[in-house]
Amino acid sequence: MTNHAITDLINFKKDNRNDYSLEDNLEQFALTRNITVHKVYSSIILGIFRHNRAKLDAHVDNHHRTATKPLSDVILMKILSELPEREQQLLKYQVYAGQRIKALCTVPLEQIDMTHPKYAVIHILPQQNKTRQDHDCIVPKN
Amino acid sequence: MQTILERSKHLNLQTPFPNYEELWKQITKYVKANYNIRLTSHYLRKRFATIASKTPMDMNQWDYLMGTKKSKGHDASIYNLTILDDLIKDYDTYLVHELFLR
Repeated sequence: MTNHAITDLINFKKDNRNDYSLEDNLEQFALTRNITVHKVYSSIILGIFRHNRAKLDAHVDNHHRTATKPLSDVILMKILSELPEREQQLLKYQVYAGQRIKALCTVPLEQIDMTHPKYAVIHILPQQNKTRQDHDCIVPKN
Repeated sequence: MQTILERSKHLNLQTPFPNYEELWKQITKYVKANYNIRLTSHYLRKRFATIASKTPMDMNQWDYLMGTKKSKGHDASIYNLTILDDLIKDYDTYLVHELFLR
């Protein structure tokens, strides 16, 4: 985007608040291929300027469309049947629980309540999950 | 869950899957090599939400199960009480059969 040190550009913006050439260049940079990578870099640059009190009047949208295509349960079942037993257990565990994998797999065993006849209740503490929510997950016992 | 717990206790593990990252790497690698699909653990979360959203189960209930803030109603995470017995009952009625891989 530039061969200047970023400090020069920050100082330039502070001295020339009505000059929008930096914003124009940044927005063009954000739309260069590979767009995802360039948008991420652009957001970082925006943040650097903002924290140095030289906020740029530009916006970079970083909410990319998901490329996930749904898998049929037939394929998922076939994959499951071909995996080793331990991997099968892991996959099934998450199929029923819905929580993020890290929280599910690193919860201490004493937080798994097996008193219900059909279901195990997993108590997840706020510090144990990304969204800091105190909550429960339910998984069939068998 | 019973099997996972028994195995963990037998091996003196403190958590259900301490090596989950390695296991998931192997699953992803296997599926990519054999099906040319990039399957990650996050996909199963998306599957859970997609299926749950099509059931009559209350959105706040399955949001809660996923560890997400309850999104329906006025400050639902604060004002919407969670009664575990009702949650299990609704999970059993609406969700578990839909999540089951057939």
